[in-house]
Amino acid sequence: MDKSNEEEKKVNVVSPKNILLVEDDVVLRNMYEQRLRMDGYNVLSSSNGEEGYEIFQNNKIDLLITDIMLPRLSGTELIEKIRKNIKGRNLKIIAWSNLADDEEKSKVLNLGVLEYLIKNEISLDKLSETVKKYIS
Amino acid sequence: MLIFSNFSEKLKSYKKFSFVFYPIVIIFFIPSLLVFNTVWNLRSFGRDINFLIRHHALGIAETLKPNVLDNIGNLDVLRNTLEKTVNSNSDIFDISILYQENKKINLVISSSLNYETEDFSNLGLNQLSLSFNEPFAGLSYDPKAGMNLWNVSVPLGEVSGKNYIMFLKLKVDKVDQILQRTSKDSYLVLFLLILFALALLINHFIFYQKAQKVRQLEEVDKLKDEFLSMAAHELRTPITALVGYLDLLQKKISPQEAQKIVSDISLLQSLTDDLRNLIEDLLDVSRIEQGRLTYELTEVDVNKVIQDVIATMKSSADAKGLIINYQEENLPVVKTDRNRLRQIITNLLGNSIKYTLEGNIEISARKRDKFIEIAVKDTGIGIPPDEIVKLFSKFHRVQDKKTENVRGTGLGLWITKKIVEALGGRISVESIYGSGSRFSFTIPV
Repeated sequence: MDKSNEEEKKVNVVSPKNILLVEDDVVLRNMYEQRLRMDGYNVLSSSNGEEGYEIFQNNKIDLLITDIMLPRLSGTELIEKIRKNIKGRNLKIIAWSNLADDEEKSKVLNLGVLEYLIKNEISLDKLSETVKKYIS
Repeated sequence: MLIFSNFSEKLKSYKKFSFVFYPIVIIFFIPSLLVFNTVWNLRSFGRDINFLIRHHALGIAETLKPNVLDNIGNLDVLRNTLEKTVNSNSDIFDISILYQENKKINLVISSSLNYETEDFSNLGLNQLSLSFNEPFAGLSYDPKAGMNLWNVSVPLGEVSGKNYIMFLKLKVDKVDQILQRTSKDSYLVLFLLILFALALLINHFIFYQKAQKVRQLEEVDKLKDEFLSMAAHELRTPITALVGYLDLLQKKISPQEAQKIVSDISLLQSLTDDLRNLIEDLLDVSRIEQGRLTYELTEVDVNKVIQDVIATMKSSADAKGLIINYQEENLPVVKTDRNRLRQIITNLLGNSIKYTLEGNIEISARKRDKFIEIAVKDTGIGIPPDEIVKLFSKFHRVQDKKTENVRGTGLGLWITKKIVEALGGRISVESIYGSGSRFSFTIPV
């Protein structure tokens, strides 16, 4: 009994996981941020791919959630860039989009993402479940 | 619009065909018809004219031949004869006597002084020498006198080693008549051909206009398509945000502190769901009407799809105390559209849950011949018999006291029926008002 309590305490002391969220729609980005923070994660967010990459370089990220349609650097290009970086080779990534473009989807899946979701079909609960599945 | 799609197919192929066809017809066909007409006329009348002129010339030559040949040395007698003949015959304008010596043709005498300088070398000397016994050796048309005059040469005979020829300038009335008739015919044919060409051109332009219209309609179709995709995209994003923020709002308020706010938010959530369903339904209806609904056929495990749908809808069934039963059977893998199949089952199961107050809902899936029959049976309020006919029409909703507060678009069954039929199946319903309903549909294996 005591041992499990100690382990539990250890888990509680560990700092919250960092999620990098890249989403260009400010309304949706705010929404996802709030929910993920409520779930206990530390969320770093950006509205474009370039800034997203900078944040990735300067911080320890546990999970990247990125939109595909982004200004300046597309989601696909961002993931490619991260994968080329040693730091990002094994980074857990979830990609999502508004459109179900098969060509883009297969391109992204080939870069080793955990999930490719369609934004309009994902409720906040479902998102929360999915994130929990990969980092907890 | 569906009528136009067939018509526009015909017009499209007609457009391409007519683009090539009409220029060819107008450019090559009409003049070639004219040429053919002329050649045909000339050939058939040529022989007649030939015969008439020949006959006439022969007659004159035969009459004068003895006199001329007997008096061939006497120029005065000859001149007299020739002048008398010309003066007494209105259709003879000129007579000349020629002779051939050493392949050269020379003039003996002529009734007209003009012939002294005339070049007779174009009489076809070879033909003359070869066909000496033929009554006719050369024929040409002389328009100088302002009328049809025929130059005819008739061999007369040989005297002292010289071959004598009579050269006549004739007017042949019968030939004139034929020619006039022929030229009238030609003008008539020309006129008809021009009319025909005009008719073709007018026809072409009428259809060109129609083709233009079709092109415009295609443009409009394309714009509608683009509008549809844009609308779909634009409508979905605010809905997604609405749903998400309501969710956040609900989470920020703890149920113990603000019960009423929570129930308001629940209402907002279900209204948003209604809005979302309506939008999705309207887009589906629009796409089905335009024939633009696409289907992705893959190998589908029907059991799994049914179980997925049951899992999704279980909570709303539980909320009403309804039990969903599903007896899994051995089913072959089906080639169909997984998402659309899910949509159909969701609609039918959703309807059952909506219209059942207590009891259970039974779902079954069985293989029948070349189809799989899926049925959703409930112990709900049932459907009045006169409503069953209208059940699958657009915006139809059962009018019943018990269903006053059931919300819906009235489009679900219409869409479901269209999708079932598009996937190659049929949908049907059995219902007893007050006891329950059974909806079943088939999918080809």
